[in-house]
Parts: sequence; structure tokens; C-alpha cells
Amino acid sequence: MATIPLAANFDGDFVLKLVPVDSENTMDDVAAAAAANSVGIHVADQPGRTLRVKKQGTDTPYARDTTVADSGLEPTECIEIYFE
Amino acid sequence: MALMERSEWYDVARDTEWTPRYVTWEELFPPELSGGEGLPDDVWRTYDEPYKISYREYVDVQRQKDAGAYSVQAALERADIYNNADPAWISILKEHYGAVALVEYGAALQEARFARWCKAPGLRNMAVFGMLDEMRHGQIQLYFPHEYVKKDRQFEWSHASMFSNNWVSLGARHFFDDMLMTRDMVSTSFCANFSFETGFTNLQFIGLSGDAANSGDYTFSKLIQSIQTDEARHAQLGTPLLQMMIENGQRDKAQKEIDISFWRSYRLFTILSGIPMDYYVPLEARHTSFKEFMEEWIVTQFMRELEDLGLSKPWYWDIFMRDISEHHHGQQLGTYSWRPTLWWNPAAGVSPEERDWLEEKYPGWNDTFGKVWDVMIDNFVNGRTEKTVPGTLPMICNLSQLPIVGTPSQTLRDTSVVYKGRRYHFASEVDKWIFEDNPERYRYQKNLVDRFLGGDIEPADLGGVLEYMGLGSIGPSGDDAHGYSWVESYRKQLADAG
Amino acid sequence: MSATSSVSRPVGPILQSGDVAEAVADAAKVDNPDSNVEVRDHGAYVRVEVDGGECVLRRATIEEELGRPFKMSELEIIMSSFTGRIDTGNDEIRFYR
Repeated sequence: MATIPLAANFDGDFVLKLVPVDSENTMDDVAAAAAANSVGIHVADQPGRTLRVKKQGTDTPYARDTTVADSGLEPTECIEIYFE
Repeated sequence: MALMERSEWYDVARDTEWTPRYVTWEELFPPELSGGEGLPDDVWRTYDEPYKISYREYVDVQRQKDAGAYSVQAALERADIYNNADPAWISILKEHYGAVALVEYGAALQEARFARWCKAPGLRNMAVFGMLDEMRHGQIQLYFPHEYVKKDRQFEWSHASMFSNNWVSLGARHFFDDMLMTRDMVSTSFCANFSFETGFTNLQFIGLSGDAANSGDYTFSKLIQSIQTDEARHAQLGTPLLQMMIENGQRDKAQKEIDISFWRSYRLFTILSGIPMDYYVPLEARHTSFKEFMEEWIVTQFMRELEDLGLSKPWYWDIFMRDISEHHHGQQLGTYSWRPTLWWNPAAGVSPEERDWLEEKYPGWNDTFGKVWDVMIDNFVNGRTEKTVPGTLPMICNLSQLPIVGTPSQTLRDTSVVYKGRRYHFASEVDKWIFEDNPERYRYQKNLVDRFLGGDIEPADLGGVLEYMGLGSIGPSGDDAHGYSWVESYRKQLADAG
Repeated sequence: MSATSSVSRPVGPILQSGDVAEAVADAAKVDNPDSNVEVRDHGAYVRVEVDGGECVLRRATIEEELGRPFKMSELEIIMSSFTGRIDTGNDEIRFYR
């Protein structure tokens, strides 16, 4: 258990946001944490669609149950969150 | 008795040169302060300042400039701009004075360093006038807002901002420390006299004066143009130095310093000029967009000066030309969203009519930045004001100290490097290039997010951040300039549709 | 408003609007008879642009246009900027490339 701050680039947003997550969080948890700072604030919701997370610069999203610890993401690295 | 022509005595009078006997030339002008390494010693005496003025003329002309500006201010005090102008115009005054007034004293110190450390006697003489110019700018830009302090405590920031840890101040200090205070004399002259003063200050001090006159604020219009008449003179200090560098085989070095200072100046002015020009200036007074001012003063006029000297456009010209239509729109969204962190009250500038104007000036605005505003407007219209201020911090550039923004779904991305075990984030490839050119220069500075994550800000929440920035103690936090009255037209649209 | 000028290699002063600016703009036409002189009014400021890379302004001409004595150094009071390089004299000021 450790807090890891990440830089979140939520698709449709205009600014990178600091999102602190826990090392044991899954990517679904990470997506939810990022959404809490973007969806309904700066980005319109898309009900019924699933949020996915990928590391900036990669093509494939993480599996939804991958934990932050397992992902190898380092503090303040940038993730992209988008509606699938 | 007839006075001699200035040209008959000028060269003798200004040439305060002597041969040092008690110290060496290198001790008198240490390279780390004087710069110009590799230039032949005899080149400095040939420096010929293009804009000549005697002390007698200087005093006479400056007295008249001051008399003009102060008399307009006195005559128009009863016009009560504070209560009669659009509140967004008053926000421009607050932003301007807080960001500019104290910095002018820093510029006086910079000119004083020229007067001491420059190896060219002609430049030392003109730099003394430059120093006096900047002191005038500091004094007059503290005096003018002072009449408003009793009406509105946000004007306290005119004097206080640079002593605070407000994020805008952190950005301004990083910029001015880098450009004006911590380089050798020759490099400083390229950054300050050339890029900053010959280029970008024209935007704010002449461009905005037109908006001021259109908005009925003749006092401010007169003031900032009066200031720029000083800049037009002492900005000329740098041009012969650039020529000396180029003629002595140091063109590439000069070009790099221009490239660095041009980008840094540009990004700072997106906040200082870009946001007010496109969002705060009342629509009926807004005839020219930030992009159009940039095209007039920078893309056309400044680039011509650069190319006349034999220098080139910066290597990132394509990035820059795209950026002038985009970056400041992101910064407007950011400053408005995090409005409690500002020392002024931002205008949203997105009423239906204003959106038409933005779409006309920046085709595609509605489909990109406009979509973010749609979500915010929906929250305002439906009374979800708690959702209109984000609950976290933006990521901040380790060079510009500005939030890392981009065009939604197009250009927003992180640019980062790891240097000696620490990860640094940048708001563009150019900011990263500047850092990597000299990482030891920049590596120790902590931006707001570094301070937040490092435990310097307690409690680690928005309240703690505001307190750290001096909001609520120096002056009240920012809030919508018009008290959200602009939301009414959207509320009416919704009611009509429903 | 167009940001680009129709004159080629333009040089000249950018002045705060008013009587002196008008006199200087008129003087620019008198003192540069062989060049195209464009005066663009931006409201608070006026751009005087002379093509061909040289603009000369003579004190005597400005005095004539203004109808009163004028010191060349007084131009600075209203000259917020200029394009080109500058050469400052007591009786003449020159902008050039």
C-alpha cells in the first residue's frame, strides 16, 4: 500500500491532472479516480461505456484488473484514460 | 548662447573609459558577469548605440512623459473607471499590475548590471538611462493602482504578488530570474532587450492600449504606451551586441539564446496578454484577437528585425505558429476553472455572442475548447457550482511553471524526462529542449506540484494550496468577474427549449 | 485589419495617436517623396510605414506641419515602437534596414 501520484490525460480534457492512486488499485479504480476529476467537470459523460487506461505512448490498454504496482507505473508518469 | 549639436560632443561625453591599473581587465569584467567570451578586446570600443540621447534631453523628455501620464490620470479620476468600466476590464488592470509592477524594479537591477558589467562604454551609458526608465515603470505602476486599493483589496496584489507563492508569481519569477537576473550581460541583453522588449512587450503595452482606449480607460492606455516609449529606446541596446556576435563567428550561440528567450517570453504572454485580449476585453471594445496582435507585432515585425540581422526563425517555428491559435485557450480554461487561485476575477468570455467571435477568429474553437465549456456551462445552468472547480491540481511544467494544457483530443500530452533520478514534466517539446540544453541550471527548482507532493503545502488540499499562495490573506480569491450573470442567457435557452 | 503591410521592406515609427502623430505622418510623406508611405490608424496608435527600407524625418518638416517649434528628442514622447533600425540626430531621424 503506497500512494502513487499519476498524471492523468483524460480524453476530451484540456489539461493534465494530478491523480493520486494506491499501488493496490486496479486500472478500473484508476480510471474511476481520473474520471472523478474530469467527467462532468470538463468532459461529458458517456453512460454505458467502459473506461480504459493506457500508458502514454503505448497502443494497448492495461487489463482492467492490472494493479498499479503490477503496471510498473512510476510516480507522476502519464496515463491516458478514454471511453472504449 | 547657442548649444553645440549633440553629435559634436556626444562621443567624448559618454565614453567613460579608462585603463585599469589596480586590477586586471578580467577582474574588472569577469566573464561570468560580463559575457562576450571569445570576442576580441578591441571590439567593445566600437560599440555604437543606435539610439542616442543626452542626459539633458533624457530628463526633459522623461519629465514630459510623466507629466502626460499623471495629468491624464488626475483628470480622469472623477470618471471613476473602477465603477463605470466593465468588471472584466478591472480584472485586466489587476492582473497587469500584479504581474508587472514589481518586476520593473527587477528590470532596473538588470539595467544596473549592464551599467556596471558591460565592456562597451556606450552601452554602459545608455543602460543608466534604461535603469532610470525601469524605476519609473515600477513607481508609476504602483502609484496608479494605489487609488483602487481602498475600493478593492485585490489591488493589494499589485505590490504583493511577487513576494507570494501564487502560481502566477512562481511562473513570472522563474521567467524573470532566468531571463533578466542570472545570465551574463551579453546573454541577458539578448533575452531582455531583444526578445522580450523589442518583441513581446509591444503586445501588452501597445496592443492592449488600443483595447484600453476602446474600453474607455484612457488612463491605462496612456500609461502603458508611455512606458513603451522608454522600452523602444533602451531595447536598442541589444542589437549592436547581436551584430558583434554574428560578425565574430558566434551566430549560432546568439541564435540559441534568441530561440530560448523567444519561446519563454511567448508562453508567459499567453497568460498576460492572450487571455485578457480574447476573453476579458469587453466584446464591443475587442477589435483585434491575440493571434492577430501576435501576427502584427511578432510574426511580422519582430521576425523582420531578426532576419535583417542575419538570424533565422526559431527551429520550432511550425510548433509556434500552431500554438498561437491554441495554447492560451487552454490557459483560459485552466485559470477560469481554478479561479480561486487567481488574484483577479476572471471573465469567462463565453456568452453566445463571444463564442461566435471566438469561432470566427479561431475556426474549430467550438468543437474543441468549446466542448469543455459546454460541460462547465451545463453545471452552472443546473446549479452544480461545486463541479465547476476541480478538486485536484493540474500538472505543471517544470520550465514555464504553467499548467500543461492542449487542444482536447488533439495536442494534450505529457512531455517528460528523467534527469538524475527525478522526473520533470514539460508543457511542450520546446520547454523540454530548453531544460535539456542546460539541466543543471533548472534541475533544483520545485514547481507547485513538486511542492505539493513533497509536503511543503499543508494541509494537502485546495484550502492548503490557497493559503500557501497567499489567497485570503493578501487579498481575496478570484471569482467570476460578472458574478455569473452571463450564465443567464444559457439558462434562458434551456428554459425556452424545455 | 491586415497584419501584413502592402509596402515592401517597411520602416518607420509607431506613434501614440494625436496632433504630433498626424504631423509626423504628414512629414514622412514630405520627407520621403520617392517612397510609398502608408499610415495605418489602429485607434490608440498609428503605424507610419515607408517602403524601400528607409524613412527620413526632418525636424524642420515636422515643425512646419505642426506649426510650432519641435525638438527631435520630443518624438520619443509619443514613439512607442518603430520598425527597422534607428539613427538619431538633432535635426533628422532616420529609420533604415
